[in-house]
Amino acid sequence: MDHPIVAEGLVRRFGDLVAVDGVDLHVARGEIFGFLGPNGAGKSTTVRMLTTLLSLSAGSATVAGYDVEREPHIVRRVIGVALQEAAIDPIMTGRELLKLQSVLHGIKGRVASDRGDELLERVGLTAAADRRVGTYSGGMKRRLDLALSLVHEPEVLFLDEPTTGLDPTSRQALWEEVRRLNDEFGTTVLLTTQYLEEADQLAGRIAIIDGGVIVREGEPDQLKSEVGSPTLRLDIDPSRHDEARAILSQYGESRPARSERVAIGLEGGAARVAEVVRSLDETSIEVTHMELDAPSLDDVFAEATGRRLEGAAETGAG
Amino acid sequence: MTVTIDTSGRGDAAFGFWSSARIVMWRGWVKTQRMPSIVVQSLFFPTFFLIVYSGLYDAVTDLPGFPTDDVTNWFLPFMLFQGAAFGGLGAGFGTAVDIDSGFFDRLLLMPGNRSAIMVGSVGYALLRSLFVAVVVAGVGVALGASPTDWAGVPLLALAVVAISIMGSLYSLALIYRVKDQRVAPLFPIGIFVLLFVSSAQVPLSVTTGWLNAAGRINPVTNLLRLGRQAFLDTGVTWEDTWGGLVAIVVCTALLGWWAERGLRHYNP
Ligand SMILES: Nc1ncnc2c1ncn2[C@@H]1O[C@H](COP(=O)(O)OP(=O)(O)OP(=O)(O)O)[C@@H](O)[C@H]1O
Ligand SMILES: [Mg+2]
Repeated sequence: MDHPIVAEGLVRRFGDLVAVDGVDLHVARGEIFGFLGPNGAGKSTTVRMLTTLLSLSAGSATVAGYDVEREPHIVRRVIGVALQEAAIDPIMTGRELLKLQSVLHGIKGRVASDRGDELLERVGLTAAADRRVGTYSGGMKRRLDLALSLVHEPEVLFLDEPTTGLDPTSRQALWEEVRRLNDEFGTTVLLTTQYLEEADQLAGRIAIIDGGVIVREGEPDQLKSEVGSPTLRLDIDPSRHDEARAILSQYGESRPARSERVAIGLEGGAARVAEVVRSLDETSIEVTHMELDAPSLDDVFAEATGRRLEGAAETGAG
Repeated sequence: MTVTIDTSGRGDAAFGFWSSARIVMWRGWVKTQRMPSIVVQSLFFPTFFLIVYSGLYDAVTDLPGFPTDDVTNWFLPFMLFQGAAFGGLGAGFGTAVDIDSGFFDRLLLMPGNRSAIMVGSVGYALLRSLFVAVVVAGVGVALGASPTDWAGVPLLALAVVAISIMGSLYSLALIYRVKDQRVAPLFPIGIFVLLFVSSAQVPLSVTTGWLNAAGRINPVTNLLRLGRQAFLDTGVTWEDTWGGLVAIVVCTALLGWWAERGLRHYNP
């Protein structure tokens, strides 16, 4: 079982609307897989189908080898789920919710309370454990939600927009926690996000979904390099620009740049920067400043869909 | 970090049906304690009506053949039923809030048998109903109600429990299907119709026309006959008992089936 999450031709219709339109996914064991897309792309709908909360209109899916439609109760034993609207009851305390979650997953008594304490510690909520969840900050709620999804030590973890609405510090803290889980226990993670940076930093592999269809899939770096070479900008004395351009032409096509600069699309990427600098140095062309701008996932998204995700994510509340 | 998986059959039992039901019930109870206004509301109406009816409708007992002289004796079982029925609806109201907030998804993600959620909700609403019943009964006794046949008291208690359970199952059956908090205000309508088109206010013998016909087939009439025996001059008779017992078994089974099916096919 190399792929704890497999989906083939996943389709979900709501009346006339096709929210998910033939999604194929193969998430490998121990992988952090990012599902990146704008509002309404079909991320949550996909997650809800994979976690047995929504029936499939067509296609099939297995999680940890079990069919989500035919063996949903077994799937539910092995998955941890933190949904988009952190489903926590404001009137209960964090500790009480952990108790409830444990019992629902067949963990009781001493074992459950020890596990609860350990998880509270892990997500840094020990001090707030006996406070009503209604008094928690957004970041605390998310961390509690994560802790809740972990009580039964799931093999596969689904996180639907775990950091939407969090400030950068809280976001970082949650990333750390997800990474740690993945490192320590090899938990397979599928997380959805509208943040390019999150997909880039956290996920080993990503799928970009738009309009219910996966438009790109692969490792972030590979996807970015497919879009094109990074732009290398060099500040060079204008009197030497012609010479410099002649040398640089062997490293990639020339790109537009401000007057004091020379820019090329660096073929082969960052690895060749040293080589470029050495060539210039050999002809004693002095480089006073240098910038390398790799294509971003936003460029990947733009290339695939003709639209930009950047910015949209910051305003979209989800 | 792997879970031992029993792939043989469904294996749901491993996840403790009753412990899951109990924890759902426990949550409802904890929440109720933190929002006492919920209980105040369910206490207020039956208590208020009991006091008002007992004061206003004393003359009703002068009707020829009225089965008791004490108007409180007449209205107390009805008010206990009303309290239990509305207390029972608490299951549906609570579930509606959970569906709206997304918390219900967390419950649905339990690996065990999901019916435990339904049983837990019914149990929690029953706790609430019983609390209300004890208070209303206390008020009734203070107003002068007194059993004429103590053998009827356990039958009345049975009817109160059954009505709370039925109210819960009815509200759950609706909310599991409609899945929208906006249906919740409709819950009480069914209860009102059933309670009032019955012998709740006056004996069927003094009603006429469609009200009489509807009252005859209304299971609540049979439940009231069962439950009122403790307080009427005639005392407990098998004739007034069996219809109520049949109504309890049949209605609980039907409503239970309806609600359970709704939950089983919940996944939209
Ligand atoms: N229960 C539903 N009934 C009808 N339409 C739905 C339902 N759930 C989702 N949709 C629609 O399906 C599409 C995909 O929604 P989905 O929630 O999967 O998007 P998403 O990628 O999670 O977006 P977001 O980033 O805003 O959470 C949207 O057009 C949405 O309106
Ligand atoms: Mg979503």
